Amino acid sequence: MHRIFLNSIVLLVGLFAATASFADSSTAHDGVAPSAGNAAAAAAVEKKGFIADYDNIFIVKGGPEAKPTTEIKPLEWNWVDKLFYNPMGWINSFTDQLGPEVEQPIEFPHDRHAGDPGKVNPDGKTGDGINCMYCHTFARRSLTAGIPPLRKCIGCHQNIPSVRDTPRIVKLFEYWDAGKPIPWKKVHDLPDYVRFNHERHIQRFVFKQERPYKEVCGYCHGDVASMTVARRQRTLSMGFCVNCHKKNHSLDSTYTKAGHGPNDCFMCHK
Amino acid sequence: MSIANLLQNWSRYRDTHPYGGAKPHMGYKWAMAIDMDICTGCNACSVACYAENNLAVVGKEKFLNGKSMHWLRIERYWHDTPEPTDPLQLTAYTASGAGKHFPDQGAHFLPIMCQHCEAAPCETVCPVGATNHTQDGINSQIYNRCVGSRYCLVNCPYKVRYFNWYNYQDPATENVWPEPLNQQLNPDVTVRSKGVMEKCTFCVQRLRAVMVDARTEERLVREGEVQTACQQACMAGAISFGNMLNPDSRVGKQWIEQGVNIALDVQSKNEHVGDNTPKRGYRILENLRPYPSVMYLEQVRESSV
Repeated sequence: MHRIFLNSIVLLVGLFAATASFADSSTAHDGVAPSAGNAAAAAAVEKKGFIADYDNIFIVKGGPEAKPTTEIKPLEWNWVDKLFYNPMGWINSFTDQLGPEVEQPIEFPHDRHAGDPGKVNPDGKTGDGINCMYCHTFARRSLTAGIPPLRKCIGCHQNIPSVRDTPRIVKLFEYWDAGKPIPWKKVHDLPDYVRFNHERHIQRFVFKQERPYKEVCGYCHGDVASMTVARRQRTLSMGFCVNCHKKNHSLDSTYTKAGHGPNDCFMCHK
Repeated sequence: MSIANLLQNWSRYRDTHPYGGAKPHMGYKWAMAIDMDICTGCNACSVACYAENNLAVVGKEKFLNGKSMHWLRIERYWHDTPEPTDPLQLTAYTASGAGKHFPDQGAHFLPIMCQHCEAAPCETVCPVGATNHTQDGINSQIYNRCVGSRYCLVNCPYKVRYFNWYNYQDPATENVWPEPLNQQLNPDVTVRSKGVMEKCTFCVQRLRAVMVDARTEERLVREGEVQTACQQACMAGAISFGNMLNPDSRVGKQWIEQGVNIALDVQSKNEHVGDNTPKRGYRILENLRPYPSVMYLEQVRESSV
C-alpha cells in the first residue's frame, strides 16, 4: 500500500515537472511571456495601463482592422448528427419548412406588386417590379420593416381605375371609407427576447455592398415576389442567424475589415 | 520559476482581462463614474431604472424577504460620530440616542449597480454561459439562456444580481402590471419570467440603438450621444457614463484625472504616488480583483478639509 502511495507521489512529481518544463518552453517560444530575466520589464508593460492605450487599440490583434485569421465554416450536419443531436432539425428536413399559413384580411398579392415585369404569374398577370422598400419603407432606417399604412395603398389605387371593381380592391376601399386600418397579421414574428435590426442588414448589403434588394430580403424572407400572401420560408432560429453571421461577408477583395456579423450574445438578445 | 510564470500570466488566459491591451474592446469600453460628493441619495436613479428596464415592484413583504428587484440600489451609511470617552457621558449618550438620528448625524449614500467587472466572478461560474463579457466591456445577461442556478448571485461580491422568484407578469398570481399599467413596459427590454437572473445592463438597449446609427455612418459613438436611464434622471449630475476609450468622453477624463487604472487593483488614491494632489477615485472591493468598470469619487468630508 505504502509502495503504491509512494509510486503515485513520484509519478505526480514527474508529471508536475514535465508540465512545468513544458510551460517554460512554450512561454519562451511565443516570445510574449517573460522569462525570469525580463519579468520586471513585462511587469512594467503590464503596469503601463489600459486606458492610456488609445493609439494601440485599433492595431492589436482582433481589432476592427484585423483580417479574420481562420475561416469559420458553418456546421455541416449529417443525418446521424441530426437524428441524435438535433432530432427536430432532422424531422424538419423532410418538410418544406414553410411557416404556418396566416389568413390575412385581404389576400395581398405580393407577386402582382413585386414580381418581375417579364414573368407571368399564375393568375395570368405580370408583376409590377415595385421595390420592397417602397411599401416596407422603414426597413432601411429602423429596427422593423414596417407595414405600410392604408393611405399608401390608396395613394396608388385611387389612380388605377382598371382594377377598382375587383373584390380585393373593393374590400380595400371599404376599409378606407370606414376610416379603419387593415388588421394585417404578423407572419415573421421573432421572440420578444430578440432584437433584430432591419436597418443594419439593408444598409450593409443593399446600400453599401449594392447587392440586389430581392436577394438581400430573400436571405430571410425567401422569394416573396413569387408568393401571394407571404409565408415564413426560413426557420429564423438562432442557428439560422449564427450560421450567416459566422460567414465572412467582406465588402470587396480590398476591404481589410473582418466582414462577419457580430457574434456577441448581447448584440441580438435583450 | 515556471509556476510563477503561469500564475503571472494567468491573466492572458482569461478572456475578460484587459491587461496590456491584449484583449481590446473593439473601440468601445463602456464605463461609469459616480461622484459621491454630488450625490444626495434622492433615489431618482433607482426609480428611473425601474421605469426603463421593466423592473417589478415586489412590495414590502417580499422586499423584506430579500426578493427585491432593484438593479440600482442606494446604500445608506451613517457617519461615525465619536463616542464620548467619559463613561458618565457615554451612558447619557446611549440613553438619549443622540447623534444617531437624522438631524444630528450625517449620512452618505452609495448607489450600487452591476459593476460590469472585467474579470467578473459571476461569468466564470455560470453553468450554461448565460452571462459573459461582450466585446464592448459589458457583462451581459441572456435571459433565455439562463436556467436559474443562482450560482452567479452567490459569487457576485457586490450582490447586484436579482432573481425572479415569481412570474411577475402573470395576471393570475403576481399582477405587478395590471391592465392599463402594462402599457408602461419598455418594448426594448424583455419582461423577465420566473426563474431567471437579472441585473443592470448599462441600459444596453440604448447603447445598441446609438451603436447601430454610428455603424451605419461608419464612426464610433460620440460623447453625449447616449445616456443611461440613471444618468438621465440624476438631477445633480453625479453619474457620468460613456465610452472610456473615447478621449473626449467625460468618464474617460475622470478616470485619468483620478488616476484610476482599470487594470490595477491598487489605485493612486491609496498609493500616494506621483504628484501629491489628492485623489478621490476608487472602486468598490478592488482587492478582490474583479476590475470593475464603475468608479466612485469619494465624498470630501468637512473634517478632512
